[in-house]
Amino acid sequence: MLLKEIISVLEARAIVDYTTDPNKDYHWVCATDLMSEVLFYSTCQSLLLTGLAKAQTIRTATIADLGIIIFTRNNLPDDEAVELAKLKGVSLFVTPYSTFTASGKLFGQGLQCCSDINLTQED
Amino acid sequence: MDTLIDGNFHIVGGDFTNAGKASTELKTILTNCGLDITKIRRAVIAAFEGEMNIIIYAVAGTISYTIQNGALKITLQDIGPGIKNIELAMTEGYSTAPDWVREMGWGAGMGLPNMKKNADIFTINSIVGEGTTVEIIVNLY
Repeated sequence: MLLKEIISVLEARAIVDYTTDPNKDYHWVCATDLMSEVLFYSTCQSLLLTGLAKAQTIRTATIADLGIIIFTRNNLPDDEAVELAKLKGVSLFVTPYSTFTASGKLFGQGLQCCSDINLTQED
Repeated sequence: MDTLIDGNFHIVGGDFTNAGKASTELKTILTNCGLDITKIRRAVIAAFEGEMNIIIYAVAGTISYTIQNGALKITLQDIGPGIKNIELAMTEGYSTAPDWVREMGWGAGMGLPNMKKNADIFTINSIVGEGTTVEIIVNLY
């Protein structure tokens, strides 16, 4: 699913936008508030969907090579998080939908949970 | 035995404000060395998990890194309570973190298993009442 389509489906708006290619195709989503799960399950092709709008979320995304974070339920990142995202080149978006609803919308469009990659590999 | 780079970071227990800062700096250093990005990702994920363990559980600690003979070695050493049952601590989902740490997005019991998952060689030693040392080796070639 193209990034511009994801943004449209989630009615998301940009807080920090470093995205140069709105036509970039995404297949995997990491939807969690647990940063250890992000580190454990995400792939660098995933986008992160979370309600945790903190600087540590930006640091986690940076470590895991995730370039897009979408904060759910209008959770706005604080100034420290925004400045860090600008510094590290991470794009931040915010959607009015909850993590549950946003995940459902993306799943309905064919996107998959990033931990399913590991399940597929184990099968 | 040629050493390409080495260095260390000091970590203060409880310092959530700077959580991840050392590992992020390590990522920049390794990237500037021109290492393979998949190797860097594995190494810094393991380092970040270890950094968080020091911040969550220990009084203080250090993260040391060195590249020698085609391998990146990261050593995380802390002064802290130590781990009573290492086998149990290595179980995915097992955690002794307090609720307030979980509310910050950590303490899910994935830290040590994730460090092992991303390492080619993983060793852990702990003395209860003194502290824990974890060594991670990522082969670069």
